[in-house]
Amino acid sequence: MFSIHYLWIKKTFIPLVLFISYSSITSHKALANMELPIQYCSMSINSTLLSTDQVSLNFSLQNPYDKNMRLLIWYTPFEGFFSDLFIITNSDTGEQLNYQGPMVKRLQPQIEDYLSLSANEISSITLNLSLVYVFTQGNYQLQLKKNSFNFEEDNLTTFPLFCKTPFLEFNIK
Amino acid sequence: MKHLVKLMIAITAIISLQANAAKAQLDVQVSVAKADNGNVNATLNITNNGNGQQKILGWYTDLNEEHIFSVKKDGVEVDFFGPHYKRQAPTDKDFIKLKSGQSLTKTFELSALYDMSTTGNYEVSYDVKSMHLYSNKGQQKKTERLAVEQLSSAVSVIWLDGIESKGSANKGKPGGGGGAGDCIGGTCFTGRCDNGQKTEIISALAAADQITNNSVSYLSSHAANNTSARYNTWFGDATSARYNTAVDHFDAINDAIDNQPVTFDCSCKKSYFAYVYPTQPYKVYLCRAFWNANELGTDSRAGTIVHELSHFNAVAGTDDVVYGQSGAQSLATSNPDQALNNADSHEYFAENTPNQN
Repeated sequence: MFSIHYLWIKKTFIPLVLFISYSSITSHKALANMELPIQYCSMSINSTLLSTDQVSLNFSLQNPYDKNMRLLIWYTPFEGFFSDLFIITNSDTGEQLNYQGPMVKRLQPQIEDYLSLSANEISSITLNLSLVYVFTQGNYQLQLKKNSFNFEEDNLTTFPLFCKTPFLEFNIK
Repeated sequence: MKHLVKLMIAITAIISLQANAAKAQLDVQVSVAKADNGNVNATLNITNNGNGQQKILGWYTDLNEEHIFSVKKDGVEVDFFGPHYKRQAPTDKDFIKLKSGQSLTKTFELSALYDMSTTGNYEVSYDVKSMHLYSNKGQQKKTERLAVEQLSSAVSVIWLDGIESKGSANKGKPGGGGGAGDCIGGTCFTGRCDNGQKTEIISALAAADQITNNSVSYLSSHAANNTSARYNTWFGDATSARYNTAVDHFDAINDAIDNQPVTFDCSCKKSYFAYVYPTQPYKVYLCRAFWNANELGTDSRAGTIVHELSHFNAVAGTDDVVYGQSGAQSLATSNPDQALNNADSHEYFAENTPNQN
């Protein structure tokens, strides 16, 4: 799995680097690599409340900058289900689950499409995946589909960051 | 004995009505006016003409809270699409206080909450009955607590010309002809579309029909071995399989516009153009960017309707592989099969802006 991630990172890197001015990023060495360490973005499934109607996923992301930033929430869990956010595979059959939620045509993001985060603030959201994916009993594997997050400063400079989220496995009884 | 009981009930009712009549010192007036875009605005004025302070339960002064207006079309009550809340008994803070001589004036748009899309004479009045209209009766005697209080206004009358469905977009659709629900010529509305929005939707759908017909006729007058710049720009290299997919997709979009019961929902307040649930044909949710777009051209209202209809699994089952014109053009070059799976590629082919042969 790691090697797949690594390749993806390598491919994504070059364009990202061009966008980012190093001097704007404070403190963290890891940010120079544009990949956030795992503690900045976490994702987990609540295994105690797992059923075909209730697959609760908690996602959290920390502002890695020592200043106020805003995050474009489009195509991220913070938007809720307005796009196909996850790649979910039934490990028993090898089939990928079809997203059943809304598909949105967008224009320009407006002020309400951003989440304001103060310096190093952590934001979390819980989503019930069974609202938009049809689960049956069995074993599943889950990944976040889009791993890059666009942080912006007030001056609208964009800092796309790659967030390495875990690859989750769970079982629905 | 039976008659005596009836008489007693009648007398009790009269007494209680009189008691309330004496208490109510509020005068209510309603005036209705039609806006240029077909919307209907009702202005409610409630004035305390009594000597003392008068209270009125706040939610009976707000159409967004309660069904406070009676709307009749040609004498028949018009359905109300607004909210019906289940509430707890009101507390003192839920009442609005009007001093002697003070009045309250509010304006509400009616056509989003009542179907006022067909031609006729509409009578609008304020008409509210409640056990809690004027006060919190928690401390009162049972007979007083159970008395129903009523407040109403004179009727205000307005003539409205209906919204017509123009062009061929709605011919032969099920549920046409202003039948059940909030529908005009087979196109239905949910989520509080007002008359102005309904008019704009009907017009945008006619424009979507026009650009879809144009796409269908392009595809029938060309072939996989005889494409031109318009096809190649948005769908790339043609094979006969790919070309047939394009034909099938636009035939299905055309069929949805002409023959299927398309519903538009106006409740979305987000920055998006529009969205659909691909598994739930043929309901399209329109958002803010839609209302700001032009009817025709790139990323237009007509094109957005084509885009959204193409998403339905029952139509073309497209995805959003890439967004925007430059992305769609690159996709046509790099992956023509995916271009035929991309909703924006269909939209831009149909919009054909700038014009290509």
